[in-house]
Amino acid sequence: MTLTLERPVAAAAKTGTDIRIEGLAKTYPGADSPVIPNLTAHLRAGEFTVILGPSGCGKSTLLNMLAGLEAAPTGRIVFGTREVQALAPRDRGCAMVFQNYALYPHMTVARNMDYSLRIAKVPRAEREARVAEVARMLELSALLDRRPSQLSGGQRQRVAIGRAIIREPQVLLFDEPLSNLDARLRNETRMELAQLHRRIGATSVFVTHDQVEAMTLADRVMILNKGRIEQFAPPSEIYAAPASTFVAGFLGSPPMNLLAVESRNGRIRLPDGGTIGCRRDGMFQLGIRPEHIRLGAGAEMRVQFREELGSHSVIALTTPDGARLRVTAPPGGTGDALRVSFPQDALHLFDAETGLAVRELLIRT
Amino acid sequence: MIETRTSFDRICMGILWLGILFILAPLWIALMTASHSAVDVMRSGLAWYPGPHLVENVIRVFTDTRIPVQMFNSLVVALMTAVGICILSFCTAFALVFLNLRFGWLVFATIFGTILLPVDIRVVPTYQVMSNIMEPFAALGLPVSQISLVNTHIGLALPAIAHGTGTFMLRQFFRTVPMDLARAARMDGAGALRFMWDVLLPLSRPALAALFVLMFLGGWTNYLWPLVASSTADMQTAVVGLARLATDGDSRAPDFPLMMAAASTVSLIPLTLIAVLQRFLVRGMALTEK
Ligand SMILES: Nc1ncnc2c1ncn2[C@@H]1O[C@H](COP(=O)(O)OP(=O)(O)O)[C@@H](O)[C@H]1O
Ligand SMILES: [Mg+2]
Repeated sequence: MTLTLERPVAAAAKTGTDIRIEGLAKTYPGADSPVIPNLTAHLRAGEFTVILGPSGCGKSTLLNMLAGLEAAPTGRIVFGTREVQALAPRDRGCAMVFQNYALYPHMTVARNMDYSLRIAKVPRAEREARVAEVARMLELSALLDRRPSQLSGGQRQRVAIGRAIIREPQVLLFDEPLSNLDARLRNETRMELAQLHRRIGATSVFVTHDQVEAMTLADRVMILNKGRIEQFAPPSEIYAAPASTFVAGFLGSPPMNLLAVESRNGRIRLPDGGTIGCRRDGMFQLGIRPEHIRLGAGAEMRVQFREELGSHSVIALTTPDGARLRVTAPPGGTGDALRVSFPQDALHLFDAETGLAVRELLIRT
Repeated sequence: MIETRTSFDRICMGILWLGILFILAPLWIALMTASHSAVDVMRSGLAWYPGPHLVENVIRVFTDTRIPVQMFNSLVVALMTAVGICILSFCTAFALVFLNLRFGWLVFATIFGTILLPVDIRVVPTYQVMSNIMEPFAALGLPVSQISLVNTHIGLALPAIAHGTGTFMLRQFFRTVPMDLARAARMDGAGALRFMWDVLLPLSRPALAALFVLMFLGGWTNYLWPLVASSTADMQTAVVGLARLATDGDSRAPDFPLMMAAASTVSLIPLTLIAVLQRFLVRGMALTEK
């Protein structure tokens, strides 16, 4: 489907604001440790930020605090020049799309979308014009008189999005809005969302635990682990230079291989038989992505199992140390053993204790 | 899995029919007895077959007894009870489920207590409060005058309204309403009252209708409290009046056909209500609106 919106580009430019989060912390009553210990970040105006992290890491909590649905007792949230952490949701100029759509079951599509305008006492003519415009943009024009129960999952999702954008919010919040759709619809809706964001220009914050959504939608991805930011960077950078073992192990399919290695006398022995220089001695985690491992030369390793994925296969090998190493290979290979080698510029290094990237310690020749 | 064997089906149907017979037999006897003359019944006991005097007996109910005005009392009291309970429990259940009350569990436990301690058990203290509803304030030393609600419609309905069953039912229903609906309404700028009115009320219609019917029937058939709290025949409810028909006769022999005609007439209103609203009753009992 295509999105057609004859909205002047200037209008799009005015809508977004930047978001500053300063020293935000949250502990639920009765919990002994904070969900979010201390979070500071700056989301640029009009930017599409994806908050990515495992389930239970505090993504929804953070989003709800931005929305005003959850109290933010410590820290500041600033939209543009306005401090909003003490304001009610309606006064923040943001809108939200929920995971289960949360459409009002007894209202028609049109009523669902213009409910907020009615509350804001927008005159009828303007309400109707805006509903018509949003409906056209989301291809809902023919469905305006239906109830949510008469719509498909994808259509409900579009109504939920329409309800959010009809007020032309400065900040658009999404809490896993695609996770209830089937795979095909999810792909479609994802692309529509990306286009929609470009048209509307609102600063968008999108919560997900799906790395594909994060990589494809985000201008920048905020990777959250136990309420802490592990890395906040564009998707390409997160892929190319993960800031910690957590990020390295979370992204990629299959994710980066992490192998325990020791640096002695300035050199690390690699599982492929080679060595690489290191500026510090001690224990490290060596990282290499399965797709960067070179096949056909180097040390021979035993094949544990293969997964055929059609376009390629993923092979699990056993290193001489007994660790598991995943490599991607062209489809349809056979054999009990494979020769692999590690290109130096594909290697990542993480401190064994802190898990933080210490790429600069490697001496590549 | 429910068995679908025919022999099992037959047994179930047999039990069902027995149950229906068991429930309908007294009604049948009442209706049949109401269609005979007092003399016939005196001579040959309660009747199993129709007689020619039904209309005559029903007319006597309207001319010779206080049942009509008492039915009006019942109607007023049952309506007040049902409407009052619907409003009260809608509000209390809303507060319990959607407002983050610090001591919500304590409030709920207190409300639940009214279910464990029905009016029948606390007739005497309830009567005392109703005979002067200002007494608690007077006990606090406030200068208030005495207001008695005994022998008024409100006085008959109030103790039944202050009852937790409705709150409990609606609370269970509200807990099936997705929390995100309330959050979406907040994002749309709706306050608690708007959410209640615009979203929750329309969604609760079947549950409220079921609650209304149940509580109306309860209010209609209440016996002990109306008996205690009404001191004149013109303020008594129909059920109390029916019981009085049996005992009030000035030492004449009891007029069974008249009593049965009155009982049948009095049952007519709740029966009609159930017939009209049973669709809601079933849906509301299921307590989930998909
Ligand atoms: N209202 C709440 N009260 C208490 N604990 C909560 C509440 N909401 C979430 N939590 C807890 O906070 C943690 C983070 O939750 P959440 O922000 O929903 O995670 P995510 O969206 O990343 O899956 C979880 O451990 C969850 O159990
Ligand atoms: Mg969540």
